Amino acid sequence: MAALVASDVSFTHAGNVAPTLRGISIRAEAGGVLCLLGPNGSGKTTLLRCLVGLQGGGAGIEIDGRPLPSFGDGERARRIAYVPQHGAAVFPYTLADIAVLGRTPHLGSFTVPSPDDWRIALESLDRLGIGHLANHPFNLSSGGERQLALIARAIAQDAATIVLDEPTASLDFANQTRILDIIAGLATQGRTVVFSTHDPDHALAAATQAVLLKHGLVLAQGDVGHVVNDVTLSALYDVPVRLVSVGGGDDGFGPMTVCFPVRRNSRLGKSRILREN
Amino acid sequence: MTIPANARGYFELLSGLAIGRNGAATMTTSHEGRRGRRGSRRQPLWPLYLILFMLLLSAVVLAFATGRYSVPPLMTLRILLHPIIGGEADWTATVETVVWEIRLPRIAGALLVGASLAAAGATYQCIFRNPLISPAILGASQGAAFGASLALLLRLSWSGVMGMAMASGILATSATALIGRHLGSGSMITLVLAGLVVAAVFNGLVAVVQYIADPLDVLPSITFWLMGSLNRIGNDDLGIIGVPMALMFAQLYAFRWHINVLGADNDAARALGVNAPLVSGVAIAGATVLTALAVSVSGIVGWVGLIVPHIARFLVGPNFNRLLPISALTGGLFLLAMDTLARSMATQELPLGVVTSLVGAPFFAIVLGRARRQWF
Repeated sequence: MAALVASDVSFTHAGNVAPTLRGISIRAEAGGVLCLLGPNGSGKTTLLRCLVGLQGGGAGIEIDGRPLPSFGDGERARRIAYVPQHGAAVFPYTLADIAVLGRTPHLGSFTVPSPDDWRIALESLDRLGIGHLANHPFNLSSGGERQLALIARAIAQDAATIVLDEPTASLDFANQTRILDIIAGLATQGRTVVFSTHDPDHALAAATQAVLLKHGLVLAQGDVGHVVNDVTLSALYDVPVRLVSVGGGDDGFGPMTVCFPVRRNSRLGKSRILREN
Repeated sequence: MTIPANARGYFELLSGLAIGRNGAATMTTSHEGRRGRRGSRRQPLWPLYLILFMLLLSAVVLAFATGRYSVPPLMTLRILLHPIIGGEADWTATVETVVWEIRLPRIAGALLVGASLAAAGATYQCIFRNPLISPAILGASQGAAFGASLALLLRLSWSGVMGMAMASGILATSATALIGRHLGSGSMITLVLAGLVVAAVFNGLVAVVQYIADPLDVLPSITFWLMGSLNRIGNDDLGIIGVPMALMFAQLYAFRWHINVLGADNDAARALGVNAPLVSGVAIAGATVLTALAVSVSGIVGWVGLIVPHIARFLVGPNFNRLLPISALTGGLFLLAMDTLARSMATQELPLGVVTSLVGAPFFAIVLGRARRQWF
């Protein structure tokens, strides 16, 4: 069953002539991880914002088989959560203050979070390993800590579908791996995850389905093993890309597939050519 | 809270201290870490409320005792309670007039105006996510002042003055918000600059009103009132502004959590189930009406709406549900203290707006220093 469906979604930013999205149709299966790949400016962020109704008013979007605009504000937020790429707090909100915002759609009218809501927010921070930073100011935290706090907010929101905009951007190697593990963990619990990334390796590592987006059009979509390959990635990024399978190592980890762009003028290539001559 | 939760709280406090010390260079200064904990929800608020109420009570007692007519606090209390508990009246009619007709409305007026301006400032700062703005900087005060002075020129009734102040204040705030949006939200300064433009326009319009006002009758009252003073407030005015002020406080209080969500994350507020346009509209309208009500009785009293929210945020952290009541209480206390100072500093009374500027401006310089360029 599809948890999230977009049918023929088009969007043009105010003041732009060219549309950012041109008739996009995608579907995210319930309990799956959908990865959105595409070069800069391909419309990834716009599509994700359309999926959660932040842009385009939810036209063409269906959650659990119901049109997005038919949901009330609170009801929609209880079904689908959004993790923006950058949170920006001006005032010294703590990570706990940020995480508890996720409880907003569960509050009664005119009330504030109860001790239970705070407990849920703190548990979400704990689950992501930043419980000890609960009272740390968000605006003074590192990029990784901010990203984790925003994901904790989405977990506290307790929605079946979570949409993340480039959750691994500007994070170091260890934190990227951590986020991918968290995404896989969310799907294991039966949640549906949609995320975008600039690194096709992340799609190969964590996603079950992939959508390749270019110039606001879907280039290819389907199962990751099927869709993410040398040909599609080369066409997507306009650089030759190669996929390599790495066998299982002595460290106990199984085989995996990685990809990398081929650089014709790389120093390695030149030196080899020189030797051959 | 259960005991394990508390124990965990203390553990976190300790680990937080350790982080503050060890990670000072990379993560935060120990000073900022402390500020984070001060805003913690685990910290109960009642000691702070108790302290503020005690300070408020002493400020009220002091204000009743200040002035040319010395009235001992106990006699003041007996005079104020006389209509309720009765008893023998062993004071002169003059003393009774001083307490009931002069000092009581002035003290109550200071508390209401201070609370309104501070609550409006806290709301504006939260909803625009901008620590540099206040009713006066957004141009709301100048807009309200123009509406009120125009109403005075046209010799309208009290309700006319308040209505014109509100309409003109809302016009000015909307103009600032629209110009700010047009300039782009790249920097916090853009909204300040937009407010500067709007305030200048309305200051010009006030000058036009003053120019055509009758110099014998209307002009002195407009001029005096514009300087910012509480000594024109009477008991009947308090009733007229008190009820709508209470309604506006209730409105802001009802929406306190959704306003907080907008203040913390405006971009994703809709994804959190908040109707952002409705909540900003409710918040800005509430803050602007509070400003207009305050301006229509006291003229332009600057700085209260700018610095009191900073004091309140320092005390209870940035969450608006805590910030709103503490700002209102602190604002009332602050303005009453400033007004008592204005009445007692010199033999002749100083204009209140002058005193709040002299105290507020240096204080804001300190706030800016603490922000360390984060805000620009």
